[in-house]
Amino acid sequence: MLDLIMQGITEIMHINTLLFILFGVAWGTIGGMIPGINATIAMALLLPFTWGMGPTNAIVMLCGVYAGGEYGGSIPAILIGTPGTNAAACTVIDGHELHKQGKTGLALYTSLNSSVFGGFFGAIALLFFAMPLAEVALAFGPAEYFALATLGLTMICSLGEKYVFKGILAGFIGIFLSTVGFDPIKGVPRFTFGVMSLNSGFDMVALMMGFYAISEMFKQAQELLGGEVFELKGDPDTHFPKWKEIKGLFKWNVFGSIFGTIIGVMPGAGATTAAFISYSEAKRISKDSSSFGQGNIIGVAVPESANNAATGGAMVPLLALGIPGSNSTAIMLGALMIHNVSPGPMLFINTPEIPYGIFVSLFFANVFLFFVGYMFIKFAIKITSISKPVLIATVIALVYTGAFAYSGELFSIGVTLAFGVVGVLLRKMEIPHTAVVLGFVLGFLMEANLRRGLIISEGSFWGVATASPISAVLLAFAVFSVGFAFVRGLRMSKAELS
Amino acid sequence: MFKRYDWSVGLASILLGAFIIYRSSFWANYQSSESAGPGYVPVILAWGMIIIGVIHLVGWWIDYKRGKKTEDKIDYAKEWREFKPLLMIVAVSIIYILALKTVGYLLMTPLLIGSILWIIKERKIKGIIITSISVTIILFLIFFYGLSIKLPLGIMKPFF
Repeated sequence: MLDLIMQGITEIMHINTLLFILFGVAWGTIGGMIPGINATIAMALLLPFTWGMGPTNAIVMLCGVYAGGEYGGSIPAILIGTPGTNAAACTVIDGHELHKQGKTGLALYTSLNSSVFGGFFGAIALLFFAMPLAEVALAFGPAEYFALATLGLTMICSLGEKYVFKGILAGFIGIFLSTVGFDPIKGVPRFTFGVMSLNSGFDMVALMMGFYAISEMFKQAQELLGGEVFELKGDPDTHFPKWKEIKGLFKWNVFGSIFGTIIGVMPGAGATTAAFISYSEAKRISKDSSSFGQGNIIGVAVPESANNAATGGAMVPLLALGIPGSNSTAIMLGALMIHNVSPGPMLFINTPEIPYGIFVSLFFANVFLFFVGYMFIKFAIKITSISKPVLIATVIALVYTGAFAYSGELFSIGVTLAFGVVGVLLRKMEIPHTAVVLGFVLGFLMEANLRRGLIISEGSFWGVATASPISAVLLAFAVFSVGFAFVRGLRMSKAELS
Repeated sequence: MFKRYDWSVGLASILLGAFIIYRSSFWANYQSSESAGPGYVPVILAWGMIIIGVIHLVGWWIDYKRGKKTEDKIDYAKEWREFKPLLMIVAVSIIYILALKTVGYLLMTPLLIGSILWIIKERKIKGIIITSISVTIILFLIFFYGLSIKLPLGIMKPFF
């Protein structure tokens, strides 16, 4: 093992290679910061330039973009309530609240620290456990994916706080939205009403930007005119967190990173799923769960460590099995294939310097990420001095441009606008829109795998639930979580009445 | 557990559920080779929505009968004041979407930004013009040149 790691280090320790990683991280962070441009698009834009590079340089640069992209999305998420990437949508919930409370530095630097921590954790897992983790990925069939998604979805019950039914309703709406478009098994178009642009369903980017960015800007515009404009309480605190604060979040970073690495390993799950599931589980086990959504720093640390740990996890099926588990790793697969490198178990035997070089490059990418992120935060924090009307108009224009850039269709701007309006209405009715987003993120994973599972078990739901010990345990946890959320909601309601 | 708007939440939930069940009946034929079929999950969701809708309606009705909501009067004038700017921004956005392809990004985006600033009571004309144009130029440079995104040029196409 040690000699393989040394081979990897030797492969990376060239000034050109390190500069490529640094450039990748910076490019990815910029891409992540721009709504509508995620890590995948940032990578796709660089792909043509990898043609003239060696396979290691090409892939390590893309690794840098991947790490930077997953982190960069958190900066606008915290500062303007607009997630730069889908995975950062979860960071908006508490990160933007912290910014409103003037704890801007704490939120931004915690997001950076946790992202770097998650990235390191994922890289270590990749370095030492790539092959065993690949076996975990293979142990997850449709029944296990369905159980995992269901467990994540039980979070909708607690997102409504004392309005348990509203949380569930919001989750159902989110799952319903995920069913729009081609059905995952038969390919039948559902709820599309003949609109071609809806055949592949709603763009997650448009939906997230609508629910988070546009509805937040609408809300701020309403507040501005109603004289209730949110202003920072004093000057925002832009200091780096104290050691005590960093240390206090250590266990949550480990928590998020474990979720991120494991979920990242599973093909089709990805960083967004990792962020939302880890957030929901952190809220579930936290002693201070009621402060989640109101500016709890754990709500920033956990999803950020999870989504960056997922980058390491996502490399496992790509390199060990040759299966790209996400759009970003599919682009990496493309880059490897351009250079006649075929990922899979033989890659570790024939050219071990490439996979181990990639593993080692993730460490360097995260070191660079810390410094690049620190620099970007210093620059981005100036956003807080922009006047509120200018910020509202600019963010709306930026989001519309980002929505168009992602799909190349005007329809996406319309979808973003529509979800922005829906977001305002849901807020008015005190229906938690985060539960809608959670339902949307996990809905497809849940439905597609439930139906695959039902085909395997010849229509028996019990057969799906008990297909393996993993699915049975996960579903048992889900049932327990629903019961717990109901009891908690009833208690909160009773306490309010008395 | 229930609030003043909950009758509307209940009603909307029931109507959405009924609509989903109605639409899902269109795909009944696809169910032959698979026990679930395309309508399986949507119909389960729909029944869930209907049940939650009924719970909200009943809960609201019981609270209403007990007279709990009498102090919770809706101020329609305030509601209208709050929603008016939102409706105006939505209207401007719809015009933006409809005209973007024909007129082009470089002309429509300053108009969008300027209109939003005006709606949210920014009245310094010079500031509106500078903000609208400078933000548009920055966004155009980032997306069109930096990220090679083909933004609609509309009537400005001959200049590029």
